[in-house]
Amino acid sequence: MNWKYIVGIGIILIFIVFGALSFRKNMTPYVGFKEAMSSNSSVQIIGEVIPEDTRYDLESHQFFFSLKDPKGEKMKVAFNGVKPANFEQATSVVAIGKYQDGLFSADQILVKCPSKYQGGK
Amino acid sequence: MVLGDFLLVLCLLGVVCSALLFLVSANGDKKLLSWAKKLYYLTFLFGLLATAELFYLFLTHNFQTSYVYGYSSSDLPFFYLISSFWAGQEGTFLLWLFIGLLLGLFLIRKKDDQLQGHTMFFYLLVHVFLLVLLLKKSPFSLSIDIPLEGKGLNPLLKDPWMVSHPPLVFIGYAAIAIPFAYALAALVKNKFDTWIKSSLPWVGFSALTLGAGIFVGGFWAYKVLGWGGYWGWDPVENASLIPWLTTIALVHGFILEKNKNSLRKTNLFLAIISFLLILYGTFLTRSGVLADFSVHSFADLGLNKYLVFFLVLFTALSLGLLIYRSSKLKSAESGKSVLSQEFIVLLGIIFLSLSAVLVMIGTSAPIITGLLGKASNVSIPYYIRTNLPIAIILGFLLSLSPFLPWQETTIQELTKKIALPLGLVIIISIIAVIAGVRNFSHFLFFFFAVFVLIGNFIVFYRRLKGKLLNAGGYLTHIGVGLMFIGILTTSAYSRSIKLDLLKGQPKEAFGYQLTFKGEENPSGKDQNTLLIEVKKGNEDYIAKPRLYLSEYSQGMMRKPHIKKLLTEDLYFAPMEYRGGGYLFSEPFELAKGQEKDVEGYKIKFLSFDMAPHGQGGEMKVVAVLQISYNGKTETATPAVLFGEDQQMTQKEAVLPDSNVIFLERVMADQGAVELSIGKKGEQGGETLLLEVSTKPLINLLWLGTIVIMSGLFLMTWRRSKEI
Repeated sequence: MNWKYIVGIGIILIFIVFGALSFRKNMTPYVGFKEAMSSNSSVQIIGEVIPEDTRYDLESHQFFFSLKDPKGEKMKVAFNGVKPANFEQATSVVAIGKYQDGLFSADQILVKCPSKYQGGK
Repeated sequence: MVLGDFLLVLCLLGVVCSALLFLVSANGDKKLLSWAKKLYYLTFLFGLLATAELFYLFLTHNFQTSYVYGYSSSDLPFFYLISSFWAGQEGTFLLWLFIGLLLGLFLIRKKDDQLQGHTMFFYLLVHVFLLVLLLKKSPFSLSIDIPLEGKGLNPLLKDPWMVSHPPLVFIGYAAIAIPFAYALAALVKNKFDTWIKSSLPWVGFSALTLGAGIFVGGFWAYKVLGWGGYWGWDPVENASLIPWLTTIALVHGFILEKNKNSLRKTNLFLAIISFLLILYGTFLTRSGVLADFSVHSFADLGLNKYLVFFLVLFTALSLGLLIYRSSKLKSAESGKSVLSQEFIVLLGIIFLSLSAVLVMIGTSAPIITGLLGKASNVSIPYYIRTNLPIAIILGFLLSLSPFLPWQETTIQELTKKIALPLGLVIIISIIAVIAGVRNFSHFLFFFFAVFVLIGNFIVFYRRLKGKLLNAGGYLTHIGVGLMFIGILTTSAYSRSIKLDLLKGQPKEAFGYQLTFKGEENPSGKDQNTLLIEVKKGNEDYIAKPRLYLSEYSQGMMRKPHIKKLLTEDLYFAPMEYRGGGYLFSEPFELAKGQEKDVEGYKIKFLSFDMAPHGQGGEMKVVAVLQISYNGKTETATPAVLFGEDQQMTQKEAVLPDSNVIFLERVMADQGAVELSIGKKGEQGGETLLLEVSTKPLINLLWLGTIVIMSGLFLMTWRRSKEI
């Protein structure tokens, strides 16, 4: 064993620790609406879009919509970004963010849409 | 059994038989080998015919074939009919199979290759896997009824870049199986002197095609999807990025082994793992395990157990062989001298692999966390935080590498060579700080990216006097420098503003005066275009982003407009269009044949026009009206669309004088309709919500990708001549 191996293994270890910490920090578990409301960290929720509740606010430049889970519970979501291209096509929408002051503030939304990887039925 | 399936069965038989023949011939039986080759040609023919058959079904609009029904329609132009072939999972497996068999033709042409028998055996084993999946979920299966029209191709996929993206990726996938097969053959034969030379051009080729596929995919996302980015760390993207990184590591490992006779075990491992990662990526993206964690929804085709079976089989087989032989695998010690090209390349391989591992862990997060407890994803910052330091280190290594010889050098020697370019880099970096680079890691990233660019360019320029063919590596690294700069400027220094543009009223953004001029609908179908006048000094043009209701998806689709300038792109992404504040009249009823005067229009209800619309329980009801206005008479046809789940969509008709009429209610039993007229109000005109963003120096990024491709092409070309 010479010093180069030790340095090399050291570097890799540092990266593994660093990677593990980043991993923990950026972990966003899937939770139900109830749990999302009580959580302090970033989480993801999934639900169906309620079409009537979709609106874009000109003042704050935020995009608002509501999600409905299978139990019929609702969650209001605010997204600070462009509505994804295929939002209306969505079978369901995933929102990643935090629950604050009565609504779910999303940093990122994923639109689940029929794409090329979906099999024809 | 339909013809296509029959051909696939013949192909499977051929693959299995020729694989066995190749295996038996591996002890040197020339006669058996020539039989194996003949059988392989026949097998290829079956694969070719199966592929041609699917093309034929598409071109003849054979909608009884479920796959053809699901991904095409009779109004598709020829170009997109071709690409419908690989619009779905089943077709991509067939494409992969065909390309694999095609590349095999080059492998068997090689003479006096002692590894050929075993190589072909393992190579064909991969195709058994593809054929089993294809027969399990065949693109040729028929539906019971014969639909008159297909579902059509997703409009997002109707783009020339998307036509070429899947074939490029699958050429890359198919080619990675070649070094894998060579590595296994070398392990079985315990003969390690030729496999690297034979597979190096194929590794280069797969780095080239898979890389091109990734770049084209990124360009497509930027141009079509309208969220303004080109890379989103989505599992589908990562699934091809991870094996690409290990393939690039492998290219470097091969070059080191060729020059220094070191890294034998590492190279065998990288060749094996690159292929296994392709399988793993296929499993991740096709099995539905990540269905809730990705933008794409992956329908589970019921192939999971086959995918898992083959993944386990290939992993156990290949890694088992490697471990079995590993105690006897001896190669020269590597990295003896620190100040040498060899040591830098070694570090490069380590960090490329590290990046692959980190991306793989992130992509597999839902599986990993699912085993421990609640399935959980990692968000994009994870990928950026972990990969930025690696990119900086790779930048540092690539900055030094053009100035280091293979043999050890001294610090004095290195400083002498490096002084001038380093000075230049420092000057440019100071300019960048003045221009606004403030973040320290951004600064480091930029500093080394410029260093990579300049350092490699100097050496490349000197090499040009000799043979261009030998300069592929430097050229590739120039491209990496360019790409790194472009990635930094477009991600960290892009500016963005959201505007609500009232029709006719100009607003200011980034020094441009933007005026929303209204809509244009040149050819009617799916072609709604928004017109925005952009002015600055003498510059004056119309930006035309699109926002349209897609017939395919019955949803709003959007497409950005990109204005390319030399130093940056202006990216116009429409967010929402508000048809303006119509002032609605009181709704009024009309029975069949009845006529009424409303808001100056004489309106007569003539008849209903009802038609099932699309698939499922959708229904379109059209009211045919006769409108008289200012002495002229014409027909208007407002409509209502009833979706599958009782969803109602109104489709207004335009009246003379640009007011509109809506069909509010249908009373089919009474033969009557309820209508209302929307009048253009004084206020509340049409409004467009628009995001305008700048993408500084994005041309450097695209140029970088082209340069990388050119460099990899030169490298592959050179190594293919060495076989």
